[in-house]
Amino acid sequence: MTKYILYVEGRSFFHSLDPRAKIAFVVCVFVWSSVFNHPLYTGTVLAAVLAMVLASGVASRLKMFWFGLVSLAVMSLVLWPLFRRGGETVLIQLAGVTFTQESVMYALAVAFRLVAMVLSGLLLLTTSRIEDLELALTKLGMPYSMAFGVSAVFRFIPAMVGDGLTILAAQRARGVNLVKGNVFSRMRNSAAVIVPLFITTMRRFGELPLAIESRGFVPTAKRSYLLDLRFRARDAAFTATVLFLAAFSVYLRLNGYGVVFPHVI
Amino acid sequence: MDVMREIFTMWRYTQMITAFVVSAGLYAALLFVFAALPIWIIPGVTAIRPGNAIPPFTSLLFGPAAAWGSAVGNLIGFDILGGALTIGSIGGFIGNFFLGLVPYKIWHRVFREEPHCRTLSSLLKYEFVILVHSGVVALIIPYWTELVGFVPFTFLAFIIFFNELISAGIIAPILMALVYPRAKRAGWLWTDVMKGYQYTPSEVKSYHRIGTALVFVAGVVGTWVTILVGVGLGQPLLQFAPVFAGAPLLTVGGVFILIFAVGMALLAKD
Amino acid sequence: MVKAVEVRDVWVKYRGSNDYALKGVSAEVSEGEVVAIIGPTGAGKTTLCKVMAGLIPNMGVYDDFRGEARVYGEVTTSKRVGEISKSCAMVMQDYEVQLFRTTVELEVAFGPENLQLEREEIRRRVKWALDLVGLTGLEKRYSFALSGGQKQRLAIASLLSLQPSVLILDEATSDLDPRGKREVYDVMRRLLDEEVIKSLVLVDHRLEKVAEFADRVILLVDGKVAAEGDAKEVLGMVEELRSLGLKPPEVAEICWDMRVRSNSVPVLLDEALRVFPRVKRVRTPEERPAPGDGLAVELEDVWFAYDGQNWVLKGVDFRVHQGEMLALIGQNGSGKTTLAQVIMGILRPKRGRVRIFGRDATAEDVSERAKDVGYIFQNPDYQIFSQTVYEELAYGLRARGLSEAEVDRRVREVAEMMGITRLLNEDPFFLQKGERQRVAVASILALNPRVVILDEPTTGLSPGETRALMNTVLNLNRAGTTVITITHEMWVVAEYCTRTVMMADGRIVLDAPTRVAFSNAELLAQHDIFPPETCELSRRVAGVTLLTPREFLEHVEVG
Repeated sequence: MTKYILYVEGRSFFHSLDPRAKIAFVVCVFVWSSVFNHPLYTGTVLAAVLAMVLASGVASRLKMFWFGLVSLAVMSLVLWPLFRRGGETVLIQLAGVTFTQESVMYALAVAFRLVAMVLSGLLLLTTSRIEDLELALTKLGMPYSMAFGVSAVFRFIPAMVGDGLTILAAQRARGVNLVKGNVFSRMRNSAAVIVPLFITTMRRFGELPLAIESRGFVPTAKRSYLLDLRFRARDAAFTATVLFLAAFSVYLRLNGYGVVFPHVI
Repeated sequence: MDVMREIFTMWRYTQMITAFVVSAGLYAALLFVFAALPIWIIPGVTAIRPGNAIPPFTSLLFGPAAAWGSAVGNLIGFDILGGALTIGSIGGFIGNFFLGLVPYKIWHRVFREEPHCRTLSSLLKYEFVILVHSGVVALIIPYWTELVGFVPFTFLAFIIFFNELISAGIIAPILMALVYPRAKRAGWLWTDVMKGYQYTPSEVKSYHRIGTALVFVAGVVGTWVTILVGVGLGQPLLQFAPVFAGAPLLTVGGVFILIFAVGMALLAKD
Repeated sequence: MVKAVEVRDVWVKYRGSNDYALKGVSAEVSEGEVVAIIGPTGAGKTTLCKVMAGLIPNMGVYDDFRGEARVYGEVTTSKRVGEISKSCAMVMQDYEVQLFRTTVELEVAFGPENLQLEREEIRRRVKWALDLVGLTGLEKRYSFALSGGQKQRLAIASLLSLQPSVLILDEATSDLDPRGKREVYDVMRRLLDEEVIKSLVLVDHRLEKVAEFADRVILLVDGKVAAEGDAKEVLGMVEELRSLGLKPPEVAEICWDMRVRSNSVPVLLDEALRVFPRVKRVRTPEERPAPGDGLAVELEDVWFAYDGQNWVLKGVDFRVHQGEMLALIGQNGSGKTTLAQVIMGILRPKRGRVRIFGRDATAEDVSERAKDVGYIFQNPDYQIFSQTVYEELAYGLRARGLSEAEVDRRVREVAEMMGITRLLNEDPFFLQKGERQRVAVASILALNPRVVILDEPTTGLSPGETRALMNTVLNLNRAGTTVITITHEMWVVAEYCTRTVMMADGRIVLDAPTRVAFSNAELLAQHDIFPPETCELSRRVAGVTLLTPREFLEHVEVG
């Protein structure tokens, strides 16, 4: 069950921030890491995010993402030297393809950039409850119906996965082969899982609108909230700081700092 | 120019919100269900996601709810719970939104037959829609990732196009054949909830045909032209300085995205 | 007396259906009253509940709706559903769809939030409602991680926060394990005793519970009120109830058949004990002949964990003889389904051995195992996906590579056995749940398994449908098939299974012939398992444990 909830209980500084301030932080990490394409600069951003992750005590929750993060970095290191060609310092020539020092540095910079972004997103999700994020999004202007729908998706995914796995077992138990055979027959057989899952879900969800409206829900109506978010002075200071840093990074880039290839992001 | 009002007004119907939860939940849940049994194309590198059949399937049942559902389902199942939330997720969100939007939008504008896939012509129309929606998403997501310096266009477009086309093209018609007649009788279709919209058009307007043609050109022709630009073909022809692949690719891709936008605008017009 | 709910001559026809679900039904619920609605499947019980709560005709599409319903004097069609729930709210069978928020407290707060109450008031109501259903302390928990009983109590709390005076429970305990059922009824008792709610409308197939709670009973048959009156009176109509495929309280059945009366037929155990005549003679019941020596299934020190840490099975030793009919009981989460899936080969034990008909099958794949063992899942919709019943039954046979002629022969044979021959060309999607369950069972039996595992096959079925299904299974067993049934229905165990195995916390805590197992009331009660009333009655009046009313009748003579 825990794999559906990323949140880790905690009292760190980042935990205690208003979700809106954390969202501002994530946006700024996206900006910082995107404006530079020099590994030293994006590496600094990554180091800062990593430090924040460690300080928030959520590193152990992220264990299951390590493999994905490493593959992301490796993918970038392999792909970008092939596709982002240019630069003068030739490192090596393989099968007619020239690898330059610049393109390798660019690849490294992008690898740092990607990992920094993923980590900042995970930092947000491991230190905020879904319901607080829902409220934050509502306060940032998202219609309540939408925010409500999105958190309902979180609520129902575990149930649907449970149903799906049971259906998979049920079909395998009667000889539907989803493991062996060629790609096409396996794909056709996956309909034996998807159709029952869809129909089970729809039968069940036929009652959902009744359940929702019996509790007084009117999609367009005003409502009050049990939970409360307070954007304190500390949140304001934090948000102002990261926004300033974001603006400053754009300024640096415009003045030619932190780049390997000046004409691309 | 009309906006596609149903995309926003659907949030006024509890039943449409429910349909949204179903399409998003299933899309995300299937990622987990089939994670244990990957169907590899290239072992260890890229696997087919049977869940890719969900957007064109829910699109024709739930209309606008499936557009939001595909976008959010991918965001939650892949980016959030899969730990892949990056600036690329924005492109993923938009791309998946169109995965759920394009099929029903084309259908309720230009096809007068029902998508039951039980006759050859119905099946072919559905496969056409799937081909177009695969092309559209293979244009939009990689364009975005190239634009923000995330993953190169050519590589990603190639993978996305075939992954969508193969899994959706094979599985989604089976799903439609089994589910559509039942859904229709049970009153699960979006036009059962949102009165005033036609599931299939009573008359096909010429600008809807043109719109469909433009979306096809952008998604299918455009994606492949851009891929070719990405691998370096035709660059001398386009007279760009051969410093790096970025600029000509973004220009060519951008033109096709514009064509796509015009096509969608025509389809949106009542 | 204040009329809380009044239904006047209501007719309901669902969209696309051939017949009316309700045909001119009138009913009333007064303040201070507990009313039960009983009847066979398809009689219109749920429809009537929805009319009372204003869900019909305010939501959904109907080909026809006539008549009117009033809640505290106001016509339901004049108000939004959410307004009606403030006085009359309905708890549904499927607890999953009634919980759509992420955490416990937000679920309960949802109603008051929609009413735009002040934050302090919302907080007060959440605390109050959670306390009433005994979920205090779980406010921040995610609802998907709760047990079934907790989920249904949460669904109740989330309606209580609207402060309705009438609560409708439509088979609200059908999907729950015995502990969950007890918890929900404990909550109802408390709500009535403390007058939190003034009236209760109850739908439940377990008429013992109805007898315990209801003042008045409405019997619906085919969309019409067939009988209505004092609970004792209606529940004492043993012959009528039986002929409708309902299961009267067991003490009522026994008293009716033995002509024991007070003023009317006793329907409660205490009442029956008070008036039961002296027992003259008791014959010792004969056990069904013991099965042969051959072992069908043998588990040796089996351990299993889904995540590698938390053991769900903790060293299970378990043997099933060929031709046995065995019940696997215990609360949800005790490891029954896990055990069954290890036997089926869906799960592989982390430690220990599995032998099927003597061969070591520990590492065998499920597709191999499927030749010997068939597994029938609780929800028929988990398996069914074909366009026709015929295709559905043929699917597994074709996957096994049989010739079309052989497939056809087996399909027709098994359809005949399950009594679904007339449905072969139907779309299973539009069949009733009982019929769909038969299709799912048939699709497994078509494969001719030597061992059949039924995982809660009767959930959501009426007693009549349950018996029809179990009788088929019993015939199969008599023909030599080994049967393992996972169930929460103790009367099914008593009537059909010769051996009972109870699990708790990943271990087998009781393994005995059913009669011996059900004599051990104390151990069972410790695990929240309650044998049928006949067991208690026979023990108290005759000093032996008899399992079913029929057995009671055959073995006990009174003076």
